[in-house]
Amino acid sequence: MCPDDQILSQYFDGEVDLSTKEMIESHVDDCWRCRKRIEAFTNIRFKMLEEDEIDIDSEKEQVYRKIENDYRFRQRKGFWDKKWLIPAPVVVVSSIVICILFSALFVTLGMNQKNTIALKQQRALHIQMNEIQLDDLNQFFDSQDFMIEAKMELPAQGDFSIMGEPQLLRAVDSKRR
Amino acid sequence: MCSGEDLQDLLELVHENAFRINISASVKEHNSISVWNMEVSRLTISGKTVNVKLTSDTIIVIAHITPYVENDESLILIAQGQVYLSNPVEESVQYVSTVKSLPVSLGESVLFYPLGISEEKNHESFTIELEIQVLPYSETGEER
Repeated sequence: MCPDDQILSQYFDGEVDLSTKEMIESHVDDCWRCRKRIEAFTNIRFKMLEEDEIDIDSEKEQVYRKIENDYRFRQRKGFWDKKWLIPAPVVVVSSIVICILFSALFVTLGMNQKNTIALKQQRALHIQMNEIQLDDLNQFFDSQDFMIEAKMELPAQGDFSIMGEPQLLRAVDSKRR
Repeated sequence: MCSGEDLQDLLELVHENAFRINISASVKEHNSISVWNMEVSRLTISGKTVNVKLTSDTIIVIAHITPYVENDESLILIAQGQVYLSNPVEESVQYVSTVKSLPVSLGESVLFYPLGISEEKNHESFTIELEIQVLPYSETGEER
């Protein structure tokens, strides 16, 4: 039975023990197929020994150029991919300034909102006046006695004091208190 | 000077847009017992203030009550209180002023306390309370 390529190759390289070598030699003497295989190994060895050293400089140059181009392409980042190096004190000061500006903005907006609650536009009242003059209108409302004065008759005990912030609330809410 | 008929015409012109402000002013002891009371009523229009001035030996309270009708037909009541409180012991006068506003409905009762409210039930000081009601003039008819 013919030995496989691996054993034959080891025999050809002198890497088998003495008994295996004698066995293979005895077989090769009688087997033209194995002799052909040995010849092929021999031819390959001769060819490798004969060939001049392969010139790889031009291939080397090509590979280096490709690596360099790939590196340069990766280095070319977009604006949003770039990393910015900003000193820590600049970051801290900028953050404080931004916080102060936003706080001032919110306070101003809040104050404006409070101020505008009472300043919403009042519904316009259109009065068709023919013979009645504006003075008449003024006198009419003045005659309605818009200042009501009263003297409070109170018991001797007890007095007044400021008990807190004045309150304006619905009667139903007052009963719940 | 316009005549009574002119005033009546004027009244009819504004009556759909006028209000009657009913004010019941009272002084309460211990937050509940009424020791003095007064009821008044006045005709007004949006933005026209009705003023109530209450005086005693040691205090002057002026309440300015103004109804406002906004563009969206909602009604806001604004109450400004001015308080002059004398302190004979210290020979001084304390002045406090404030403005409060509240969205209200026609006919709804609103309470205004120009001196504030004490949380204690049996506190010694008097409480001044103004109960305010805004009604459409067209529903209430002639002025009282």
